[in-house]
Formats: sequence, C-alpha cells, structure tokens
Amino acid sequence: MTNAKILVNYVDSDETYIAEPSNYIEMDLTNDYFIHSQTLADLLTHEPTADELNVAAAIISDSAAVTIAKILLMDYSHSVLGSYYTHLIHGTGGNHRYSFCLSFDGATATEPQLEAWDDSDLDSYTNHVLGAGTINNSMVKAVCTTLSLPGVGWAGTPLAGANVLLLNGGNGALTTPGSGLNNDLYCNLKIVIPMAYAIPKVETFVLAVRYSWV
Amino acid sequence: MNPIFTIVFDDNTSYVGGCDYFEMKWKDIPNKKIRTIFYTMPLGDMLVLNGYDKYYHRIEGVKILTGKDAGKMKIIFTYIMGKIKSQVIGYKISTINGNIEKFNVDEKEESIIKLNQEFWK
Repeated sequence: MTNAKILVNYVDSDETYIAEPSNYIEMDLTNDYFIHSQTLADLLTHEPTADELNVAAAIISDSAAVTIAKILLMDYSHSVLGSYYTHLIHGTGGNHRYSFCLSFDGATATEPQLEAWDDSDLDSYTNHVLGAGTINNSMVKAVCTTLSLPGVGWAGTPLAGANVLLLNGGNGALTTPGSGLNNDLYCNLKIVIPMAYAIPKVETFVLAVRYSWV
Repeated sequence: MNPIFTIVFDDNTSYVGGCDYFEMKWKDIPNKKIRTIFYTMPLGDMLVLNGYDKYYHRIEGVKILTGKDAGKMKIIFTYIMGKIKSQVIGYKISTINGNIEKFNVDEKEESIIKLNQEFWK
C-alpha cells in the first residue's frame, strides 16, 4: 500500500518540501490539529485555551465576506524551534504554492483528492462551514498548487461532499517515484465567511484524502 | 486468513494474492497471461473472472487528516475489472456493506484512462 503524510510549511511557502524539508512540519495526525483563527498568536508556549480561541475568532461582517486570516498548526509535540505549540502555516489563502504538502511514498492507482465532510463517517456536509447541505456554499476553499501558483485572489473549489480537489491537477494517478523519492502534491486552503452570514457557530469539519492503491 | 484473490495463468501455474487490503500483492503478479481470477468479496462470496485480456484490481481508501479519527485509513471500495478489446467490465464492491455494482465502460472512458496503467496485469 502507498502511504500518505501531510506536512505544513511554517517558513517559506515558495519552497518545496524536497528543496527545503526543514521548512516543514509533518503532522502527527493523532495529536496535532489545525486552528483557523483571525488573530491567534504564532509560537504560543502552551496549547491555546477555548477562551483564547474565542477571543481570536473571526467576526462575521455585515458589509463584506471575511477570509479567516490564519491557519495554524497546533503541534502537540511542541518540539519545533524550541517549545512552541502553535505554528502559523505560511502563505495560506494567498498566491503561494507550498503551504500544504501531501507526500505519497509510492504510486497510486487513482489521483488523490482532498475532501471535506462533517465527520469521519464521510457521508454528510450539513455543518454551516461546509455549506449547510449545499456543497457550492462551502466556506472551505481549496486550490491545487502542485503544478502552478493559484493566482492572486484565487477563488478555489468550495470543498464539501462531492466537491473535491484533485491534487495532481487532474493529471491522474501518481506514477512510481524515483528511488528514495516521494510524490509530493501541494494545495492551499482558506475559509471565507459570507457577508452577513446569519448563523455564528464554532464548528469542526474533517479533511480527508481519498486515493487508490493496488 | 484466506487470500483475497487467486490467479490461474494460461500455463496452469497459479499465484496467491494477499490476505488484507493493505498488502494485496497485486504488483508482484508474474508477467504472464492470466486465465482466471478467483476473487473473494468482503462478505465471503466468490467472484470469478476469466476470458479477459488484462485485469486490474484496486483498493479505494480515505485517509482522515483531521478530527477524532485523524490518521485512520478507511477502506471504502474495492474494484476488480477485466479488459477485453475496447471494453472494461468490472465490479465496484463496497467493503462497508458488501454492495456490488457492475460496470461496463469503454477503455477510453476518463476513469479508466486516468488509472495508473502500469497496474494492468
């Protein structure tokens, strides 16, 4: 089976994983998580409390859509750069290629795709952040940057249910990489809250990557 | 545990596949003409494919990246298919409820073209 890992770039989102591996943190999927926040500080020396998260949350605007300013990695091991729990993921939402890396250690039978669901049952998208049942209303926007920059002001795919992001740019399955190499795919993410959205909520959602192997 | 598939080649030799979806041993199938594949489905029934020019088997899984089940790989479907002339005939099998969906598509159909072609056997 081909295995996948996810790495986040906390230094310079214009550098690939293979060129600058030290710029990346591999997520410990059991313990680490993403924080989508407007003002939460980078390099906290403790896991943020619920109060801190609430104070730093995005505010819905009556006059414009709000793109949540930051995606941070909550690094449970706090072993990078000293003893920091939060790391700002570089370049999220902007015209940058190498914010998120999904690295596959072999070939796949189909093209990997990024998906978003309410939970790990992978069968519903009723959360407001995922469009409250309408996939094109998902606030989670994703763009594949494996092959190119996303562009200034990129709109992205509203990620929910059947609205998925092909991570190889639509070019199909991943071939067997060279000896000692992986297949590294990249994407960028942002959350955009519509103007005057009527229902303020604190919600979670699940990101997942679907692919096939032989 | 029983193997998920067993192959009989035209030369009457055989090959036994893996016993779990994470180590299928499909890649290691010798480069010989396959006559018949005996395929065990998730609920134990046997599917037999023969008479095709080439065969393909894949496992479709979803790796959870966030949330309480982050890190887990959920196996969702298996696909076993045969190609003959310009047609691909196969079965999409749910590993969750055992439902089977048969399909018959042209080999130029996008879902077939976009497969990793090196795994046709």
